[in-house]
Parts: sequence; structure tokens; C-alpha cells
Amino acid sequence: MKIRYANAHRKPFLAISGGHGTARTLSKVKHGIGILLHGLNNITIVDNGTAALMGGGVQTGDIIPYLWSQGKQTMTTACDCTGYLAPMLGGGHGWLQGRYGKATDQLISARLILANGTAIHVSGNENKDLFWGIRGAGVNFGIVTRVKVKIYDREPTQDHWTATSFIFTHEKMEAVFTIANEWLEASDRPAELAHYGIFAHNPDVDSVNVSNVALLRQSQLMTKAHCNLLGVLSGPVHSSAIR
Amino acid sequence: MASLVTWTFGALAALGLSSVSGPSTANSFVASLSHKAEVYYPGSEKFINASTRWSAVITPSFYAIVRVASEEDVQETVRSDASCLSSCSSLP
Repeated sequence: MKIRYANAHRKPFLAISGGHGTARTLSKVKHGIGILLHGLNNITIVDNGTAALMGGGVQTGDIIPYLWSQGKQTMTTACDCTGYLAPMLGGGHGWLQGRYGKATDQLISARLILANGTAIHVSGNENKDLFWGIRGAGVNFGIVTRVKVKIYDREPTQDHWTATSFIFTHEKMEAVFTIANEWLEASDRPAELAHYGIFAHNPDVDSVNVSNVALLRQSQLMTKAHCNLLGVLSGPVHSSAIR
Repeated sequence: MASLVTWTFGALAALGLSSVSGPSTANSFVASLSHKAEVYYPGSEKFINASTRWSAVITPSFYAIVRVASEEDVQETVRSDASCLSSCSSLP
């Protein structure tokens, strides 16, 4: 999450919710003021268990176990170690998106600090244009100090899940993504099916080119088809499954 | 590292600050923050931890990092008072 506020000295500000952002423009912040949000880390369930208030510096790894312990869950991005707010304001892909939509779709309202320091409330009823804008481009409009988001009852069937990962060399990338996209676009696709593609350079696999890690996840057991199709590509250098 | 420390203390001297971080400094900006807020300066371990990013390719740089503890701290930091943190070496 970042804000570039040209004050009298034209110094940039950069809000830090997790420090994982990889947009190249972040490197243009030189001699700036960092605003570390980690102290804003409250999570409070409200509205009869249908929503939660979360501070702007809460980490994904704080949200998931807390909500789980309360019989709840929401759509976050996949990794524990990232900030929750910044990827959410940019859209936010994650494991539960087939069920609930993207992370930003869960946003009910937000407290937004504008470049001049004014704090405003943004929702479907107040400052509607900004509410539309921050759901996808949120880091450009201000610093979000608190959000109210939708949360959901955790269902018993979700206590069990399966994840399986495959490492392919780079020449298989198009084939892997073609198959993954076919699965995800299929009308009978399981809501829990997710494909998490990672491009990584692993010298043990290929000393020159990047390789592709395809990580697939479902609740309950992975169907055989969803395991075998990647096997048909006859090329995962490595595969593993966690149940 | 020695040059960083020299720079830090030189900058702090220009501001009339007496310590590297924490709410006990006399600076009016720092005084405007809540008591749990902290300001980290280059050369301190907290600054290094706060500015280290997941990707080493992404390289923003900071004069100071404000660890806010309230919404009001964010407002105070964004307002012009914060500019004294970044322009202290050119103060009259």
C-alpha cells in the first residue's frame, strides 16, 4: 500500500503493510518517509459474525488462524507472511476465491487517509467513487487504516483439503497453463479448485531457465482427473501431495 | 556503517534530537504522535527490519520510518510536519 504525497518538500511516502509488493514503481521512492502499519493489527468480529473490522497493518497469517478459531473464514491471499490490506486493495487472489470471489470483493467499508491527512469513510453509501476505485487500485488513493470485510461460517467439509504441487521445466509452461485455464473455466469446475502458478529459478531443476511450479488445491480429496492431467504432460520434475 | 551512523547523528543534531528512536525526542513531529508510535532512523536495527523487503529487487529508500500506532499517527505523518524528518539537513 503506498501513497505518494508531494508535500512542500516533494518527499514521497510509502505505507508498508507487509513489504512484499513487487511493483517496480516502489523503487522510485527515494529518501521517502515509510509508514509502517504493523501496529494497526486489531481483528474484531462484528455484525453477528458476518463481518470483521481489521486494522491496516494486520497480516494474513494473523487473520486466517484467528477467524478459523472462531469458526469463520474470509478470502485472503495465499501466503501467511504478507500484509492483508495491500494485496486486497489490488484485487487479491487466494485459495478461497472460487467460493467467495477475490479478496477485494469482501470489502464493506474502509477508513482512508487522504494525501492531505483527512480521514474519510468509504463504502457503498459514502464516497462511492472512491469505494469503487480502492477495490483494485486502492494503493493510489490514500492509506487505509481500517476495513470492514465480509466473513463466513467455516463449513465442516473444509476441515479437509488437498494440495498437490508439480515442478515443470520451462518448455512445459504453456501446456501447464493451458490445462489449468481449461479446468478453471470449466462449467463443472469445483469451487475449491485453485491453480497457483509460480515462476522460479531453481538451479537443481534448470541452471539456465526458470521453471514453473504448479500448485493445485481443493477441499476434500483432489479428483483423479485433476492429478492425472498434469501427469499426462509427462514431465513434472517433481510432484508432491499434501492431504 | 560508520558513515551511516555519522549521517544519522549529524541529522539528529540538526534537529536537536537526543535519541535515535522512540517517543522521548523533543521533536515536535514525534511529540505529535501517540505514545506507542516510534520513529526509526537509518543505522538502527528496527529501521533495517522495517525497510527490508521480501524482494531484494525492489529498493525504496527512506530517511525515516514511522511505526504508527493509531489512525491519528498516520494523519500526523502525512501532514506537512513530517517533512522535517526528510529535510532536516536543509533546515535554516
